[in-house]
Amino acid sequence: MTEMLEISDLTVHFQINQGAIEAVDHINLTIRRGEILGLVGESGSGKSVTSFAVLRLIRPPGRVVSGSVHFDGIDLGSLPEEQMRRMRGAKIAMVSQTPRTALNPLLTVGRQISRLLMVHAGLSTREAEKRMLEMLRLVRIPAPEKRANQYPHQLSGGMCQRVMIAMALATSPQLLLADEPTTGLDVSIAAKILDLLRELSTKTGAAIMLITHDLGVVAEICDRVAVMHAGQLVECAPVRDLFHNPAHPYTKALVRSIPRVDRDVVLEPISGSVPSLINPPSGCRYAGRCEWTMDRCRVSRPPMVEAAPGHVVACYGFEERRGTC
Amino acid sequence: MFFFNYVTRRFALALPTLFGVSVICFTLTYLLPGNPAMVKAGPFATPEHLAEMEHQMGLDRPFPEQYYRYVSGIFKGDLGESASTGRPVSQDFLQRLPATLELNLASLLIAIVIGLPLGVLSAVHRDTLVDHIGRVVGIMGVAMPSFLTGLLFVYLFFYILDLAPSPLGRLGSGIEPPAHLTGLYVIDSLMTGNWTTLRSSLHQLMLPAATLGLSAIAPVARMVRSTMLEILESDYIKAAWAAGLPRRTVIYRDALRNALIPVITISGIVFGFLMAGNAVVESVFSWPGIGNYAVTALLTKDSAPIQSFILFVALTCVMVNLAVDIAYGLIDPRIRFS
Repeated sequence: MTEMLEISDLTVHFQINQGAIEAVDHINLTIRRGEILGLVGESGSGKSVTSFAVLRLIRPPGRVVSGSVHFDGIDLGSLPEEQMRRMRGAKIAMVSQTPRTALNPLLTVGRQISRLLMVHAGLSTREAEKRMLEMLRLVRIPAPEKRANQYPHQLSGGMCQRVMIAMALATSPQLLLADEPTTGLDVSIAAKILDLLRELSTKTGAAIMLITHDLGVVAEICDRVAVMHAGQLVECAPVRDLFHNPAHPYTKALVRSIPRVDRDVVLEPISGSVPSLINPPSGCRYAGRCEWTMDRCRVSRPPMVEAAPGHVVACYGFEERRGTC
Repeated sequence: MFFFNYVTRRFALALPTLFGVSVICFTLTYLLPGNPAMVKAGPFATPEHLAEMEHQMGLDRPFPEQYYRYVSGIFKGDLGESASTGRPVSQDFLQRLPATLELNLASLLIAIVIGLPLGVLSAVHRDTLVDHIGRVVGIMGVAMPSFLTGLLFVYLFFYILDLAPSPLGRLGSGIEPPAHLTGLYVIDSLMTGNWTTLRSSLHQLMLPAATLGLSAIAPVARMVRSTMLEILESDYIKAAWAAGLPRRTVIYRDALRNALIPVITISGIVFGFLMAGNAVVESVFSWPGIGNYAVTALLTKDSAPIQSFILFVALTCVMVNLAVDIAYGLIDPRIRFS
């Protein structure tokens, strides 16, 4: 089998006073070895929650209601906590969306990387430091010996993000969960970080789940794209296919909302907003914003159907139209 | 170098505070009713004698000059004379200070040793039984007035259970004080290997320190809890979990170390509060410290010791705040390097 990560039927709820927030609703997703999968959607669509669920770090009031996560054939849900902890950071690493605040302010950045090597790879202090400097060089931090002894507040945002990436990759993980790794960075640095991720994935063969709301980033480095809307997966396709033949009305709208300089296109914002996830109605959660809405969209949830080889979509409207054209 | 500048800057900022305290302290006693010259001259003094005495004591000079004399006196170590002991206040103070310091430090230690783990446990096991018990213990400690806890402790541990010695001073009867090094009996006897004295002084210290410490557990525990809760939700702690660091590393190294800054602040405040609050406990346990001294002075309207006590407590607070600021710098690189 070539599946690195297999998420089946994952549902995550957050219990609050007014009811349950259904943050992730019956998601099926796979990532192959060495593949870069983009997970896109608006804020609050459940992208980050999915990645925390993979690491089994959903804590109360959050709860994984159903589903399983298989990593390299292992059912992560059945692992004892101690074994799961050894997976985190070592086999499955995460790059946070907030590099500045995700580094411990009281430890030098070098120490934050080297202690992971000591914990996960069992290296001695000396070996860990050597490897830490190699990692800093790998992510192209200038003067790594000097930077290693500095604290996060002395580094720029882009530099912190590189440190985070160096930290995530130090233990050679097989899967990298990169949560908005370029948010808050200026364009040239963002591009460098993305190049770095792609290069590292080619070099080490690690699979990457790239969580983002930026389709530009997706087009640049992803192999496949999964589109989430309000906790539901609506479409999943190879990147070219998705941009050229989006099947789901939400994806179409997302693609239309990308600013372009080569063509004179009026930007179309997506009408409406993400529906409330507190006790949402059954059926498609995009129904309230969709131009194709039919009666049954509001009643039952559309199943995933294949639109093209490797391209799946969950939309009744699409099924209806496919027959006619 | 950065750090040296930081400390110097902090120290410079403490000076105006001390100046303000001395002005307030002096003005208060200046405005208080009663004539110190009359107290000193005695009830049968003639008006001429009284005027002579006022002149001698400088009371007929203008206010700024009196203030100047008072301050320069302080710098020379002259705090005036106690009417009841007939000795210089500075001498009385120096003699009693170690007793107070010993009691306060022991109380602070108790408050931190119990309050810190209690706060951590309450935060980690939020809204569980541990958290609720911690809350109840904390509230009880604050709600009970020290004189009452002190008396209850004496009644229970000395009178009923006979586990504690009689609440009379720093050493049991017939025990010689240790050689004078720091003046803190526990430390001095430890340093000179005087085990009999060590046991006796610890025994005597037990109840008053527990009484005073109990009132300070709650502020420490509450502060640790709220800070820990905040920090456990922070991005870097989430990242630490995601990086697969062991639980004890995440909680006790990453989270607790970051939580220490507010804990140090509250310890500083608590120490100042113990300094002022010990007067009651010292009276209950006949502890020969400056709190007890000030209470006695208050009852006999002996102004110089009271004035000195206020000044001293204020000075302690300022010094402790300075120490707290320095400790921040030692813990937090963001302060050290900015």
